Amino acid sequence: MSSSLWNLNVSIESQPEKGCALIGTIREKLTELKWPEGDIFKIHLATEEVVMNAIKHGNKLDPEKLVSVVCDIHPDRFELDVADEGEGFHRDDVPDPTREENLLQESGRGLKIMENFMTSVDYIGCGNRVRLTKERSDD
Amino acid sequence: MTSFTQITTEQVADIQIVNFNSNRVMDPMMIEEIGGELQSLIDQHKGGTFLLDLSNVEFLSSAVLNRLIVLDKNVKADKGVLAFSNLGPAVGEVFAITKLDLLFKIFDNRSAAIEALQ
Repeated sequence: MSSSLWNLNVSIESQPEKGCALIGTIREKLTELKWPEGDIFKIHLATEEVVMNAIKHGNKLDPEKLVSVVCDIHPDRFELDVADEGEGFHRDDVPDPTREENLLQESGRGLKIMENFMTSVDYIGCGNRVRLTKERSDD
Repeated sequence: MTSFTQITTEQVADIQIVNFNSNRVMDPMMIEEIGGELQSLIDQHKGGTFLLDLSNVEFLSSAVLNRLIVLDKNVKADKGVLAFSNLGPAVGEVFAITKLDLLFKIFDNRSAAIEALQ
């Protein structure tokens, strides 16, 4: 396991603007560390989905609840661990939005995007904690 | 005519063409604002044809996709047409992953869209 070039360990309030600021910080760091643009786009999108899900669906925008975020950027690997204080969810309970009968549904696409863009996505415990990893692409 | 801040519109033939002023549509407030402006445009031209030109859009989230689905439903309810053009590779990949390329009318570029939609 390579050593981390950058580490972030924070808890943020359940406000979308706090999430946006955090996502911006991670994106800036990836740019500074010269990750490929395509990877940065995918990580940005997946990070936004998981952080906003925790704020909106997990903690339901409750200002008393926090979202814990641990991010590690290694030379060839991005890791993100996001936990909320909500009840969690079962991945299998979320309908597949790409099935023809679900195309008009207005939810579930964020998980699909995350799972396609990341190397791995793990839903931990009751589902209120999600761990993402992404291997760096060749430049 | 309503003035918009997040989108720029122009009319070609009977088609309302929309450009986004920001290249990263992610901030929840911005998504709400864009959705409201698009809905306002749709309400002004009920049953019309709308082309969203995404050439300036580098990034959009699932929240935006969900909003576009709602707008598409509203346009179709008025027997109108909502179409897209100029998806960049990254945005195109998001549409493909979520299979929205099967739901929406998508054209390579603006002129191809105008020709087909007229």
